[in-house]
Amino acid sequence: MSLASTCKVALCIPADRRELDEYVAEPRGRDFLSSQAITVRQYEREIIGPVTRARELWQRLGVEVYSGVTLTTLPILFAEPEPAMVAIVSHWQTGDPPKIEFFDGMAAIDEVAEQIPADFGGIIDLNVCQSLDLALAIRRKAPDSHPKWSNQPTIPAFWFSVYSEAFKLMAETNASYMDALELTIESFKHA
Amino acid sequence: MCKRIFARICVSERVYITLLLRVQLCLRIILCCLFAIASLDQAQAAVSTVSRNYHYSQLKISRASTREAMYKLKGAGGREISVSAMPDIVKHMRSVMNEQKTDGLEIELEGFADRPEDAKALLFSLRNATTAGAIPFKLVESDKQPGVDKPSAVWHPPKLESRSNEDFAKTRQLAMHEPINSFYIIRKTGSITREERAYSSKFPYSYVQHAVIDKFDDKGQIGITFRSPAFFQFSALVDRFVAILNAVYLDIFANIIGQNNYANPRVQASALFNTIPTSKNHEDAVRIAKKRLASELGMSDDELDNVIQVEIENMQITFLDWARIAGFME
Repeated sequence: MSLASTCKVALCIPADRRELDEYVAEPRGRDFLSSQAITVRQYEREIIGPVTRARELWQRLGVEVYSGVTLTTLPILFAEPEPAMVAIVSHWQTGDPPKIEFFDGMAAIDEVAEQIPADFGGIIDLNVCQSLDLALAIRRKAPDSHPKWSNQPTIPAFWFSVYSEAFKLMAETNASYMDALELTIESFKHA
Repeated sequence: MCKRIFARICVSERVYITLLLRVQLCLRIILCCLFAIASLDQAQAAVSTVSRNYHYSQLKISRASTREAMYKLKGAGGREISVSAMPDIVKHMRSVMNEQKTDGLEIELEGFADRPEDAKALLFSLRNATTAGAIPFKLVESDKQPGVDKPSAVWHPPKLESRSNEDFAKTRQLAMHEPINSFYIIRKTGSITREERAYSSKFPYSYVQHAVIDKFDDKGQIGITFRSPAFFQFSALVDRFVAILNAVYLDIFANIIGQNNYANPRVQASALFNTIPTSKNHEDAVRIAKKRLASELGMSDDELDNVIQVEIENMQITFLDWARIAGFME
């Protein structure tokens, strides 16, 4: 097994048509579609399409992919053996307090951080817009962790492509996630 | 009669001219060979002396505490300052370089020996920050100075050794499973690394592939042997000509890398992060992924490149300081 199998991806926003239909029928206070003024068709093209294709590859490479992740199921991703990297794909809702979207509704950042084991020492790749506050909360809870964050809106499809290439590199070269990510990012910059 | 004599003269003249042309051609070839041999020697001499001395300022970054992530910075002979934000570190780096009028910084890490991932995250962040601010840096062996922690093996600078191209495959194999310093060995033995790839678009792949960086030290010395592809070596003469061509390529190549060579601290700094040799497959895959992404997002290639640039610039791997960096933390 390659090091890619030490990575996990948590899809907290709808990742297929069925989940999207469920979302539309019963939003449960979720914010992504409404706040982004994104149509279902757009969502299908920009999120569901890329994630469906990527997911197939990730799983083939040994990456564990969890969809429909809720706040209460998040800790499963951090269970032993400790993963080297957990990617959280979600949506950030500005407000006081700011919240993160999960499949069963929105959760405050401290609640999210609370789900992460205090001794977690891996990378938490936050594919979440403006995730600095979440990164800080995570670091407070798990000081040895290495959250990857962005202080701007992010484009999930871009990061899905980055993950795919990084996981492939990990599988081919047995590189760590950080090394693979670094190289993949450079390639995306220059290719 | 006259007609026959005239015809004979014409024929003998034609023979004479042909002969003359052939002699001239031979002379030209001989002259070319002599010239080429002389040029080759000159080119080789020039190449073997390609070197550039970079001057570094020294800077020590100490890790004050695991949790607070405060740093202490101290330049050679300078005062020690405490910082907690990446922009402050970068600002200080720049001021040390400006004060001492140097090309880059030799950074020594202290207190990271048992936390290689933290060191890596710091350097990852530093590299991002310094690339934007164009500050070259490299790491030094801290055990040269008394009273300083020995860094983890991960962060040792390269050993100065020469490897032949034949060792390359083996070394590369080994390096996959070895810590980060092995990467230098790969680089020294001439793999196609990222920087070389940038040049390889200008040169035939095979020439770049056969470049062997066989001398390397941190004083800025670099020596390169250019090896002609094996199939060209079937005769000494052809080989010699190929070598001349190679030397010409090498001359240009060396001039370019003279501006941005392995002794260049900026290149060294980036080398610290690359334990994986790049592969053509990977780059092709990324190119394809970008095309697909552009179509999914309904963007042109240029628009996508801009978006990627912004995405990457905004991405950070947190080390608590990055929070402070942005001034988002009290």
